[in-house]
Amino acid sequence: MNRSTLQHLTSPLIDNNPITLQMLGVCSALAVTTALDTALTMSLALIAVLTAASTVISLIRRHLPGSIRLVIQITIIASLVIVADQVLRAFAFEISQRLSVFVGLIVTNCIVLGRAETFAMRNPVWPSFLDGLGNGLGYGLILMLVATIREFLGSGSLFGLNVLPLASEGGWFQPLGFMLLAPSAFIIIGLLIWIIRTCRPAQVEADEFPILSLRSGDGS
Amino acid sequence: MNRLTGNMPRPWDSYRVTLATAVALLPAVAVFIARHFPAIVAPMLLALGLGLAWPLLFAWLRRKPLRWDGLLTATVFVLLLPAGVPLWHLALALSFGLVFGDLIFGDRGRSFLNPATVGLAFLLFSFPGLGTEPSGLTVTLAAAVGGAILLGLGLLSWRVATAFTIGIAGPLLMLGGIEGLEAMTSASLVLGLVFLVGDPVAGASTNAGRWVHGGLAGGLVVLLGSAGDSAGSLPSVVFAALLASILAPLIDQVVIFFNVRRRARRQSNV
Amino acid sequence: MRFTFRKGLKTNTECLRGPVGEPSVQTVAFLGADYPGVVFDLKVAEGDPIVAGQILCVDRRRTEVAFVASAAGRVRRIRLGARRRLESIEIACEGEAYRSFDAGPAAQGSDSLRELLLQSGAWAGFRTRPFGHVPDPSGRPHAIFVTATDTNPLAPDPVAVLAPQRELFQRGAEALLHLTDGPVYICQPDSAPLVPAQDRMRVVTFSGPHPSGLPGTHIHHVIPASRQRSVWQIGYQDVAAIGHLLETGRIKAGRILSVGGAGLADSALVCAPLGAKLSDLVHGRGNADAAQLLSGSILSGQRVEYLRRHDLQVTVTRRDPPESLARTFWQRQLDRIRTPQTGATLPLEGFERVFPLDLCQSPILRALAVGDVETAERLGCLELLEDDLALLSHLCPSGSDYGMLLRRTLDILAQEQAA
Repeated sequence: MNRSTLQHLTSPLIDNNPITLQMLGVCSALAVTTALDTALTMSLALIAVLTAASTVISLIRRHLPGSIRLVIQITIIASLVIVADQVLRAFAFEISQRLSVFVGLIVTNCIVLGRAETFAMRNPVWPSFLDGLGNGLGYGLILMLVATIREFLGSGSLFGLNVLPLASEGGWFQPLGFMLLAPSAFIIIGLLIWIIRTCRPAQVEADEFPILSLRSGDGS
Repeated sequence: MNRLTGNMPRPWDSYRVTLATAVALLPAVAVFIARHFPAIVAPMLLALGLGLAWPLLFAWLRRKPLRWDGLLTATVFVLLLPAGVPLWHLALALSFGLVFGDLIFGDRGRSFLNPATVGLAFLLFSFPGLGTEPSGLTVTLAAAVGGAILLGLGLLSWRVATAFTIGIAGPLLMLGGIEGLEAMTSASLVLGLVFLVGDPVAGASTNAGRWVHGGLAGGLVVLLGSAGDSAGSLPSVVFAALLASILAPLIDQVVIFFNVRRRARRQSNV
Repeated sequence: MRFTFRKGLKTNTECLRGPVGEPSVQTVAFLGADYPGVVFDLKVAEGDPIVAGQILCVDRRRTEVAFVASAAGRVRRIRLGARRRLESIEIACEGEAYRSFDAGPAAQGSDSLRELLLQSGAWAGFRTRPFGHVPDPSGRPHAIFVTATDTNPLAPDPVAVLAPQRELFQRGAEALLHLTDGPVYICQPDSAPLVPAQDRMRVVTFSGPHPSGLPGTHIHHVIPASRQRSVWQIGYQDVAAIGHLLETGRIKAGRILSVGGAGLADSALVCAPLGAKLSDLVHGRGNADAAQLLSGSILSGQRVEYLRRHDLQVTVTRRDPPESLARTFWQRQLDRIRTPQTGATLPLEGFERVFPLDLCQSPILRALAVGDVETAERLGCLELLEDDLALLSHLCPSGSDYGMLLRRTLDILAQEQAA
């Protein structure tokens, strides 16, 4: 495995992160990150589906007719999602109940179809596998970060284990109800993007309308 | 010939606007401190400190002049604060409001929200069920005096104020008769009108839009108030102000649309 | 037609009247910045002797449009700015020589009238709206607006200035009828009509506070300008100069200006040639050395050395805030607070009170401040020129000069139209 193929694995972690740079898959990031265990489960499910889908589509890429390639891609992805959903129900029923429809909605997650269409259709199997894995890991990284903050500040716990003494049980920590609402995830993702782009200025997009400053001449 | 008008110094710059708003705040602050002394000292000092520290940090990082209206935001925040809020909640909410409501956008006027509104909304979202502060008539009057000062200087739009009053008084009269108007004497209502809804940055920027914005905010106060606490309570005022300022750019676009259409018609007629 | 405006800035100055002084002007200059959109081809070199009315340069793209000298003398200096654009041509005044033009054929037809105006430099007195450019030699506007009213603080009184030149003004106005198929509007204050109304010559009166005297206000309310419908505007003294040219065959380069402001002991009227050096005009009147000289009014004036083409007044400001004891303690503390550099537009309601045009001004100001050209055009910035926004720039707490921002936007829009 030389350096350039390793790039497919590592670049989606920060430099080309599907959530913070490509801005895909944000909605599931809002919904499932109220607790760390659901976020972890969702990430693993997405990694599995994305890796498998990218690999399979790359395997058959030369045989797909152009006019129906999107339909076939979605069929493949949907089948994999159903498998993933059933596996979760079988082995982790309680968590799958809490995730409710969001595992099924991985079909609509733009990351999966996006990587399939832009990468897997044009590249050999091993790079596609790595690319799928890398993007899934990038997605999982962001999800875990957001979930850590939200669960810590919103319920005072991590992975369901109480870390801070709750006020309702005599402690001092009053959980931040805001963290259990979806907008908080938006704002946390925004903060993450801010931090990342401060460290990597290359990711910053140019202003469409830069603020012009023209000091007036003299009037008084 | 009055030759002094040959020298026309610029009437406003951003520091003077801040100063004028601070002067308008003074009566309400004085009465408030007098009522709640000494419990108010620690929150007020903490809020003022944050109101100075966050803009200072941003000014230092971005190499821009220091803005003083963080202090005004902090003061309005403390004036509207419900009773019994722990200090670290106050710090978190005020910081959130200052940073996300104002400082990340740049100078004053680049944002579309009022930072005090955002901070209070964060507080109310995060810690629901807080008690509302008892409405004091003296604070209400002092806030009204401040509002009159801003009206006179032209920093508060009379259209927003009038539309807001009508937007509240109308539904209240219809629902509860004359007794319903008692809700209009709450301090958070008047403070909310003068400093949250009336903030020119957070409101509409066209005259017709100001009428709609004020009326919408007033109507929302009644609507949101009927769902939970009474109209005029803090949550109803804050969320009405927040919703109205989020909708203000849309209101402006509608006004602009009609203006463009009217001018296009005139162009083809004349 | 009569228009009365309520919106505007009430300045308690009246227009200046009185005796007209004649200061001796040593230097005049031709300023390239007075004519946006023109690329100049020089016809003279440094050191050349010239007469009043001699062609200094022409527009490279429309070579019929000539720009002439306003006084006789010698070319002292030609300044080229960035990218070899003509910045100014300075002329040291000597003598009274002038160039004669044959005005006879001009009375016959519109083509010879156009040629006379183009060759004599009087064409440069017109400005198109939109864009504020010198008009095309073959252009036929929808209307021509003669601005015979001035509400700028300390401006000269047009009616008093035109009183001794009534016939020349009428002759010039009638000549304008040949340049367009549409009406010629004489925009004047609420007094006796300056010219008798004919079928296409219409008198419109405007009264009210500033900016009711600006051509932008007039054009907006009578025939709004747009990309499809361009109108021309010209000042009253330029029309009288056209009349003078038709009558005598000589250009009239002198303009009656007002010189006033807080930096002078008293305000007065003077007669000076176009492009006169400002320090010559205020020489020896009060503490002129300690003050700043603006070409134009206090609101829309610019700190330049020479009188700009379309300005009819010179304002002298004070450089420092007055140190008199009348300044209160609080005002002195206020002066100590350093004002920040340009900030953001604050959409104050006060803007609406001084802008009598039916445009949404806070959105326009915002669009101009960030260079959003499409939104600015949609909101109607094509109807405006720099002096229409001077009052808003004065009031806006941000300190931006919206005139400069508007010029930038108009230049971009003009380039798009030409391309």
